[in-house]
Order: sequence, then C-alpha cells, then structure tokens
Amino acid sequence: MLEISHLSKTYPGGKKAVEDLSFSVQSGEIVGFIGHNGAGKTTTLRCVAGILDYTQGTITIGGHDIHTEPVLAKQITAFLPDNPDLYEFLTGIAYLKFIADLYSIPKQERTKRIGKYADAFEMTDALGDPIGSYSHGMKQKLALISALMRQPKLLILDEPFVGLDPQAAFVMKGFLKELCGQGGAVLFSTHVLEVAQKLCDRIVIIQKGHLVEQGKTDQIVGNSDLESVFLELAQEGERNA
Amino acid sequence: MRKLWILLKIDFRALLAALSFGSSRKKKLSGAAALTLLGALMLLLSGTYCVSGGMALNTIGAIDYLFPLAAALACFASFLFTVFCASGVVFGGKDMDLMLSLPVSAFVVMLAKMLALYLENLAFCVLFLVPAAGVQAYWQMDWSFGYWGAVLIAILVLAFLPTLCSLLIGYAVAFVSGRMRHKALVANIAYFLFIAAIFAGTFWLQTGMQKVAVDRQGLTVFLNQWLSPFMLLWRALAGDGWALLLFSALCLLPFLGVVFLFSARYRQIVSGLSSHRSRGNYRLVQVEASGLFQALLQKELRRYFGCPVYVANTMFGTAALLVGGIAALLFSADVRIVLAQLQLEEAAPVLLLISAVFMLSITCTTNVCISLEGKNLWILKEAPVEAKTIFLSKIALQLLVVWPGLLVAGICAAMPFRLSVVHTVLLLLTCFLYSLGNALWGLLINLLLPKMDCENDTVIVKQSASVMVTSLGGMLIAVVIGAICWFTRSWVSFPVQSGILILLSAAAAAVCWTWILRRGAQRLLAI
Repeated sequence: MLEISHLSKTYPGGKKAVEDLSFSVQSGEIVGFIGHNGAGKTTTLRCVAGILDYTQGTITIGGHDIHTEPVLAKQITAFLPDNPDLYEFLTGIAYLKFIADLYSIPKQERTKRIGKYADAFEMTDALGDPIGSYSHGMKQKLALISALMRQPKLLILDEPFVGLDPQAAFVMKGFLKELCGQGGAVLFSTHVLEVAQKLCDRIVIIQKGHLVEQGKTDQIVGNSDLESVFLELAQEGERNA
Repeated sequence: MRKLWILLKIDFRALLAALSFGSSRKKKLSGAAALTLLGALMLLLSGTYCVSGGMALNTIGAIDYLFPLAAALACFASFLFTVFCASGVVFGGKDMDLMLSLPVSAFVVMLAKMLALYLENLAFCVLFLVPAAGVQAYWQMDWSFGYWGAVLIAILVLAFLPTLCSLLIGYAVAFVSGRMRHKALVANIAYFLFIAAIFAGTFWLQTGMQKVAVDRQGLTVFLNQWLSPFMLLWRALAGDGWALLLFSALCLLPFLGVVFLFSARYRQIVSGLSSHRSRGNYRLVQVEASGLFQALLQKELRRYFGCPVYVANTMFGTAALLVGGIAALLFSADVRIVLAQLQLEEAAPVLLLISAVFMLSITCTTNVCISLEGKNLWILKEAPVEAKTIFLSKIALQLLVVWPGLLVAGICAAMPFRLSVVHTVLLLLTCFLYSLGNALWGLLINLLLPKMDCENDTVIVKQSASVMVTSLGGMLIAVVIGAICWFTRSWVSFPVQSGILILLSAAAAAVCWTWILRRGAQRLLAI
C-alpha cells in the first residue's frame, strides 16, 4: 500500500531530517514508527501525506506517486497530525461536512459514518459547537473522526495517543484493527512503546533520519520488550555515529 | 518598568515580524527596500499634499495654520490606520494565555500592547508631519531650534491621540461583542456603522470647512470651534511653551488614564472574547453534500465573516463605492450643479473610473488568504484537491465581496453623472476586470510572501508584508492610471481609455494566473 524508497529531506539551512529512508507498509498491516524526538518521524509522515515536499526518493500510495499523482494518492489516504489545528470558526459538524465534501463521500453514507464514529468517541452532542470551544482531546477526536469516516486505504497517524483519554484510545485501537481487517493499512508514530508492541504487526525504528531497524514486532522484540530493544538500538546508533 | 520594556520589545517585534519578507539575507534586503520605498512614497505624498496645502494657505495669509491642520489630518489618518488593529492586538491574540499568566499586572500588559501600536502611529505621524513642518518653516523663514524642538515634542505626543481613539473604538467593539452570542456578526455590524459614521463625519467636516475657510478669519473661527486642541500647537510653534505643555498633557494623560481604567476589566474582556458558547445538545440529522469548489468557497466565506478585522479592512473600498454611488443618486441635482460649476460634465466617466480604480486597489481579500490559513494549511495540503481549485475559491471570495457592490454603485452613479449605457457598461467592465486582476495579484504576492506563524489575525490583515506590498503597488498603479486617464481625457475618448484599461487588466490577470498555475502549487507545498 505504501512504498517509501530512498527518501531524503533536507530543510533550508542544510539540516538533514531524513536520509535514504526506505520501508513499506502492506495492506492489512499496522506499522509502528518509532524514534527519538527529532529523529525524523514527523517529517517522514508529512512527506507521505503530501504536506511536505522532499528532496530525493519516491513515495507511492496504492501505486500512485505522491509527487506526480498527488490527488489520486491523497484520495485514498488520511493523515492525523500530532497537534491537529482545525478551523476554529467552524462547528464540528460543519468541519466534518467540509471534509466529506472534499473527499466526495456520498450524502447518505456520510451521515451514517459520522454517526458511527462520533457516537463511539462520544462526540455527537458537541458537534454543533464551534471547534474553538473544544478541548485539545476533543479536537483530536474530531480529527480522528474526519480521518476514519473517509475509510482510507492508508491511515497515517502522528502521535495519535497524545491527548486522548484511555476510553478514546481504546476505541481508536479497535477502529485501527477494524480498518486493517477491511484491507486498509496503518502507519503511526508513537512514544508509547507498550502500545506499539501490543498493536503493531511491524515496527520501523529510525534515528537521526536513518533507518535503524525494521521487521515483524515479535521478531524485533524476541523475548525482551520493545523498550529495551529500542534503547539498545539507540545506544548502538550513538556509538556508530 | 523593566517588565514593561520587556513586553513592549516582544509586542513590537511581533508587529515587525509580520512585515518580514523572510529570513535569508536577500529577502531581508528586499523587505528593507520595500519598507524604505513605502516610507519614501509616504513622504512624497505628504510632501506634495503639504506643499499644495501650504500654497493655498499662503494665499489667504494663513501659512501658520499648516502644521495644526496637518496634525489634525495625521491624527485622523493614523487613527483610521490602526482603529481596526486595537481590538485584535490589545484584546485578541493567541499569546493572551501566556501574557495573562505572567506575574505582570494587566495594566502593564495592556500598556505594552498599546505602546507598540503607538510606535506605529508615531512612524506615520513623523512621515506626515515632518514635511508639513518643513513647508511651514520655509514660508515663515523660521528654522530656529525652538521651532523644531516644539515640532519634535508635538509629533511625539500627538501619536498618543490616535492610539487612544483606536483603543476606545476597539474597547467598545470588544466589550459589546464579547457579551454577544454572535461575536463576529456584532463586531462586523459595529465596524460597518463606524465606517458609515466616518464617511458622514468627513463629508460634514469638509462641507463645513469649504464654507468658512475662504479667508484667514473664517479659518480661525473654524479651527477654534472644531479643532481647538490643535490650535494649542499653533501657539506652541509660535513659541508658547505653556501651550506645548498643555497639548502634551492633553495627549498623554488621557492615554494613561484610559489604559489604567480599562486594564481593571482587561481579564474579563479577554475571557469574554476568547470563550465560546457551547450547548452540547447536538442531534445528528442528514448531513448535506456540496461540490468541491462550493465547499471551499463556503469555508472561505465563513472565515471572512468570522474575522471582523478582515471584513472591516477589505470592506472599506466597496463600502465607499456603494455609499458614494447611492449618495450621488440621492443628491443627483447637487452632483450636476457641482459638475457644471467645475465644468467637468464631459469628464464624468473618467472621474468615476479614477475613483473606482483607487477604491478597488485598496480592496483585496486575496493578499492574506494564504497567511490566514496559518496552522490550518495542512488540511488543504492533505486534501485530494488540486491547488488550482483552492486558488479559485479564494479568488471567488474577492469577486463576491466586490462585484455586487460595484454593480450597484456603478448603476446608481450612472444616472446623476448622466452616463450613456455604453459608457456605463464600459465603466463596469473595466472595474470588474481590474478587480479580478487585483485579486490575482494579491494571491500571487501572498504566495510569495506568506506569514503563517502570526500570533494574531489582525496583524496579518493589517500589517503583513503581503498587505504592504499589494496596497503600495495597488495605490501606485491606481495613481498612474488615474493620472494618465485624467491628462489624456481631452484627446483620448472614454471608450478608448476604458478599452485600453480592459485589455491591460485582462493581460495583467492572465500573466498573474499563468504564474499561479505554473508555480502556485509548488509554492503552496513549500510553505
């Protein structure tokens, strides 16, 4: 579903955020993207979502190059940033309608989907209120509803558990599994390693913009736990650097 | 005092940051050059105005009234410049939570923000009043140290007056709208009423002045009656130190007093404005569907009418055209008399065209449309929408804001000015195309000079580099077009003039649109 090949991104001023990064995410897979602060996770995810231009490499989603066929690639993708800034002058329902219009979700279908996800995240009552009145967690839930209602083939989430209450986090994990069960793919970054270990089929670890390790979760973790493996790999990376 | 200085530096830097052209050396130099050009243009305009005003006053033996009159005008102009800022800068802003959580009194927080506005007004007053003082000194042959000392002090304290007036209007709007359910709507109506009052007041003042100011005595009576505080400046420049002291006190003490009084309710107002009514009882019903373009345009309209300073700043030109057109229709007999007296009946279409072009030049919603996306831009970037559709929705907003008002104003003005059908159609067509070109030009400049990290929408709308460049460029183009049309009117007919303008506007629009199509999407992604 997602193929990242030799991706490099250099910011103006010369800082290399990501260098020669390659990995893939298959349909039906949940992939955890792990790394220290500033490792290049958000940059990579934003490049995949088509929000950020990159210097070198290719990114294809469902066979569509994000660079040359951005509209087709984005039509089957949903991205949730770590701190979703939404239009505060719109109400929750107006925002969802706006997104549904952009993704051409049929009229009958959109009401059903919004109802399903808004009820699950206990947001239905608040949908008539301006987004400006929402708490951080409510904004996160609204952005999540707007992402899930598109029924994307590829769902990209940047630190999705930050700001969510335990109930909402549990509901979200259920929906991620449901999406994968329907043939979708999920790529998410997180610092919550226990969640990554339990939820992900595969893990990709990056450090200072470089790929350090990738593979099936149980193969990487083995008899240890993800936290120990991650710290070990990080130290090894430091020594090699 | 130290805390005030620290906050003032931050607030002033935030205002200046909006003017930034970018962080690279080349862009900084471009920004400095544009600001220098803007300052030079203002000096040129005020210099021209002061010389012509000085000549008129000199003929009636009243050159000594030039500086007081210029001071009143500068005060009024800089008030108009910052009036819509005060509410947003002083009572709004995304940094309010941080500011109010600091161990600093509300008085200091508010004073720092007001002083940042004051510094802007001061810059404007300096550019406007130094030429006036120079022209007056030239005719009076007075280059003494005392004269220039009084001028300096007068300018320094004068800038407090428009800042204070802006605060009062901003406070009134914030106070009322903060208590209402539909804050933005109330603020929009309040600003509209304010603009209408400004038009009425200016018209009344100008008419009154024309009647009495035919000689020195009449002018003296008028100034003493309506602009008496500014007559203190006249005495001050004549060497009266007490008058200067009194004028300084009149400017400074009310400023400090009002800031002190209002700061007592500062937290309540800021809280009222930043809090939202929430009902929490929504029941999901059928969610309607719209097309892609319609959805984007609806979003643009909601943002536009949800941001009062955006409306106020871009409504001025359209409102002026509309009010002017309707007033001309209502007082058509007077209009015809004035045109006949000035022997300008033949030049009526050119006059209308010049006025419309100038007003359209200062009416641009697209020059901040990218900047206002701010941190929400990811939503559009992530969406499966071509950049071209996004741009079209932003251009459509400008046309929706301008064209209906323009159409009504044009039809209203055509009757009293006795325009033929052909002339009316040509006039409207020229204005429609000029407005389209202006929208594309604004979008292009904003793509090149976006300001995505402002703490305040007001700063983006009023003072960002993109606004400065488009306003400056627009005014320059309007002045050039106006001058060419006016001076060639005797040998180039109006249909030819408007035909050339239609072609030029269409060509400029085509050039801008081609650039936007070729480079716009790339620029948007790079922001």
